[in-house]
Order: sequence, then structure tokens, then C-alpha cells
Amino acid sequence: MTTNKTNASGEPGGVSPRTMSENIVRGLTPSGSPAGQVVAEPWGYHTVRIHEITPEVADVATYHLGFDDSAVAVAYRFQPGQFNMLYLPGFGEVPISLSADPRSSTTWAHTVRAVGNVTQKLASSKVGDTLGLRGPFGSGWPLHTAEGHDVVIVAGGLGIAPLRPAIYELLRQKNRFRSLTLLYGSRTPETILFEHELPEWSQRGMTVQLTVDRADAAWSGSVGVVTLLLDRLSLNDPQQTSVFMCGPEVMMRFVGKSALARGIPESQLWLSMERNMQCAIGLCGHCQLGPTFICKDGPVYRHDHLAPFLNVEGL
Amino acid sequence: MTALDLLQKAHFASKLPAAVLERLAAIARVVEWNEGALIFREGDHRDDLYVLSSGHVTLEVNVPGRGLTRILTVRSGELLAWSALLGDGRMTTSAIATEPTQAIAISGRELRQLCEADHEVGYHVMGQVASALSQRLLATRLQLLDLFAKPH
Repeated sequence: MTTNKTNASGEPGGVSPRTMSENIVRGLTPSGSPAGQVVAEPWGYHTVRIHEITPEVADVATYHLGFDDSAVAVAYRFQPGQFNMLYLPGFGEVPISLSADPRSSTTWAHTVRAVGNVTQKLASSKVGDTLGLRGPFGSGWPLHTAEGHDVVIVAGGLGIAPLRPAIYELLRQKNRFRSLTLLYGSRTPETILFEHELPEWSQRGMTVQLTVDRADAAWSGSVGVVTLLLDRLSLNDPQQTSVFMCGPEVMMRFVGKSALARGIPESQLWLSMERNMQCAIGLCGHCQLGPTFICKDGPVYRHDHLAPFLNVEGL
Repeated sequence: MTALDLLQKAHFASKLPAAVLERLAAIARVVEWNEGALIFREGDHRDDLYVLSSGHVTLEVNVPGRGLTRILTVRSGELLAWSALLGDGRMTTSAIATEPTQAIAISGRELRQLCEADHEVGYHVMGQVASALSQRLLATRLQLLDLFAKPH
């Protein structure tokens, strides 16, 4: 899982940028349900400008985008876990999760790894450049289902980016949850994302545990895969524990396995999926997984809704 | 705290019946290491296996051309130096205490004798050892997959 929701990023998008301020749905879904929101005009583009670029780690940067149309900026809302389609004319379109604070009212952060044609072009962009944006799309993290619970967030690699908006929201409402824990696995110490924010999250009441897959002698922290952190985590009451996870699919399979072995109910395990998303509204079928379309029905799913398809070869 | 007290709290021993714990405690002792202490070096022969009760230990392998490479951190409640029980006692990694660490040390030779003399103890102990090693094997497989590498 990366914050770049995969598409055939080398392909031109085939759509023209245009601005339509009415195509954004305001506010969260009434129930906070993870069911995908419907954007009124899903093909309508807004012009966004790069206000700031934060280099994160090698090949990864966060782009802080602002709408040129101030009315759109006022109206734009997203749920933690949702994504936008970012369009670079002449290069194509790419689905990118929002990594921003959902209460932001000025710019919206998208953390992007330069890995395909579109994202590599984005990586060469400068502050002040414009691009097209449509969205937000897909389902968000159903944080309300975890109220009163111990909340465990399991992030792997760039999978922490789609979880960051949820972390902001959980910290803001931390009294509604019994405890907050972040288990974050990275490839190496050099690829830990948002490292500068971790002490602040910890200070605000979240237990943060880091581990890396590979390290040299200079690293004094934990070494080993992130699933081990969950295996070791002391749980107050598994029945009252909720897990939100995002990372490579294999990682999430084993996080799910570990959580179930620890006695956490499957209905309290949530994951965010990545697939070849192109239209973002469930029409093109590129992101189909079994009976579901990741762009429209996901990317956030309850574990038991997706588990039967996670082990199917070729899906 | 006695070795029995510490064993009762350790995750590794959480599924062992009280009677088995008492038998283990009878051949166990408490050991401590300072931060930075080299507990054993890769290739060393050691008789003791350990269950950590606090602190943590980093396992390192010497890779030619790359030097010491950290491969795993063993935490409180977990098993260290299993080769003393199952192997020939030759350590497969180096182990360094990365903070002040306390452990329950059990002689591998005495534990093997105990397991051979009392198969019920052997069944429970080996079940826990197999479970710990299976967890470590799975984690190693995931590490090998290099899941967070940049996609190609």
C-alpha cells in the first residue's frame, strides 16, 4: 500500500481539466459510514495550485494543494481515508489519498511517492504550478465504530499517509476512545514518514511504537516486521479493541491474522486497499476485487467483507 | 522477584501449567545485563537459553562487506538463544542488550534432561518453543518479502 492509489500512471487521463465548484459533497456522511460518498459530478475538475512541497523521504514528498476558486476551498470536505484523482495535463491522472488534517481549510496534503509517469512528473513540479483535482472519492475510516474502544492503528511504509488524517481526528477526539496506539513499520530508519510528527502525537496521548525491517548499528529502536508489534501488544480487552490498518496487502493479511488470534472481533478490523483505480466511480472496472470496486466501495473495508478475496491468486 | 514470579509474567510461559512453571523455575536463575552488553557472539557455544523479563535485545548477523546487520529485536516476555535447547548450542546471531535488560536463564542441558524425564513437561515446553519459533519464522518471511520496497 502506498498513498498513491495505483493506476496505470503512465497512461494519459483522456479528460480535460475544468472547474466545477458544485461537484464536491459537503460534510461527512451522516452515519460516518464507510460507504463511499457520491461526488455529484465525478468527472468535474477543480484547478488546484501547489502551495508548498514538503520533501519527506527519498522519492516521497507531500504536496499541499489549494483550490484557486475560494468557494470550492470553503465547500471542500473529505473523510479520513478518502482519495482524490490528481490530473497532470499531458501525463495523466493518478489516485492519491489525502494525508491532510481533515479540518484543514486552506491547503490539502497529498503524500506521493514518485513511482510512475504521472507521479514522476508531479515530483518535478514547483510551488505555484497547477493541476486538476477531482474528488474526494471512496469510503473513509469509520472512526465512530471505535468509540469507547482501545484503538490500534497499524501502518506499513507509505500506508501511514492515508491513516494520518484519521490520527489527527482521533487525537482531536481522544476522550471518546479508551486508548490510542500507533504501530508503524518502515523499511529502514531513513524511510520513516512524518517522523517529526511522531513525538507530538505521543505527547498528545498516542502510544507510538516504531519498527524497521532493516537497520544498521546506529539504530537503537526495534527491528522486525510490524506484525510482531501487534503480536506483542498488551491488550486490555480484545473485545473492545478496534484496528485500522494500511500497508502492503500481505502485511494486512498477517495483521488481520494476528488480530484475530488475539481475540479481536473481525467486525472491528478495518483496512484500506489499493488497486488499479482509473475512473474512481466504479465504472471502468479496473479496480474490481471479487464483487467489489475498490474506488467506489472502498478503499476502506471491514476485514470480513474482503478477507475471502485476499488470498485468491490472481485477484 | 524470583525466577518463578518472572516466568509467571512472561508471554512465552503464559500457556504453561503452574506445575510445569514450577519445574522450570527450579532450574532457572535471574540474570541482568547493562545497556550495550554483548550477551553472546555469533558462533559462540552457550548452554543457557533465556526468557526476557524486561528490556530488549538486538540480534545481529555479521554480513561480509556490510558489517553487523541488525535483524530482530527481542522484547520482554520472549525467547532468546533457542539454539541452546534445540541446536548444538552454537549461537546463530550475536545478541546485544540495547537497554538494561533482565532475563530468566535456563540451562539448555538441564531443560533437555527435564523434558526427557517428564514428557508432559517436554510437551508443554516444546509447544511454547515451537509457537515462538513459528512466530519468528513468519516474521522472517515477511522481512524477506521486503514489502515496503519501492514498487517496480
